[in-house]
Amino acid sequence: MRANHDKKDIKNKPSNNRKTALCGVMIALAMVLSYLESLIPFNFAVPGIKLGLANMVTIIAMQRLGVKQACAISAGRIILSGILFGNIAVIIYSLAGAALSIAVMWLVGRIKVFSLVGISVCGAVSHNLGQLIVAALLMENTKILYYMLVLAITGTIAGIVIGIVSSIIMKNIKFNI
Amino acid sequence: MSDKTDSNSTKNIIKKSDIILIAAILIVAILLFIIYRANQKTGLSVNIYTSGELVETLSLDKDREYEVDTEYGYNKVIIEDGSAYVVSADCPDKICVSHSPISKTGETIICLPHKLVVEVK
Repeated sequence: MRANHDKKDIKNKPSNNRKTALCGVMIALAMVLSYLESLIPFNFAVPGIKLGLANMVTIIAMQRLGVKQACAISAGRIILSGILFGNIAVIIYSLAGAALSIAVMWLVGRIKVFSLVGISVCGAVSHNLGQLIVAALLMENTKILYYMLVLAITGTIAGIVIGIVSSIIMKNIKFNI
Repeated sequence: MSDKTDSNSTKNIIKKSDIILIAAILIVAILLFIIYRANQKTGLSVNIYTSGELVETLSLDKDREYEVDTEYGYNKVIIEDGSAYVVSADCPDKICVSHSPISKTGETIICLPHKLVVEVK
């Protein structure tokens, strides 16, 4: 519910009330999804491998509400779940990944060549890349960029899954904005 | 991955361009990964860095424990049978602890919250 209140400050034009309310609901949904994902123990050899369930919400928000709302939902989700379950480092890495991911997905979406699956794959891979770049900068060690070779593969697979699920959701759930 | 009752619409979900994109990313990543692995040699020593600065170089020939204690936190690095791993840490996520042992040149274990890098040389 807090998410709802926070979002109201960003857009309070009456015509946008529905959008704003939906943003709040979607932040809550994204938070639940990222919490659910944190319950799955992914302990593989390389850190950073994940499904990115919350990215489903970002993709759908971008398609149905717009890129501004997608940014707001993503930032709201990361900051709120960072404060609740993580720490400042988690917030910084997540924001970096999300920022690059949204920028890339928006650009890829604009060229209208790829379906949601292609957009999702680009988003997943660029999310990993964004986080690794920030990690390399903070750790002052470029060697960790080699993780990208593994993360590009796992990110692509995760992106395919999330893209397909997002498409199915988009087809079957009607949004009345 | 696909929904059996809805196979037609699942086909429409993925375009040809998506498959080309996915194949391109996978092929490039797998090729680079194979080249990278092929060029790796068995490492001789590990460098331990905190905040980007080299604090210790340990030989991989000799089994030992090394404790890293900085303002950011505590990690214990173990060297055993020519490979290095992190056995305990007081960081919240324990990603460094779950990382598999490293022994090839260029391999790293990182602990982001503690700004610790263990790198095989």
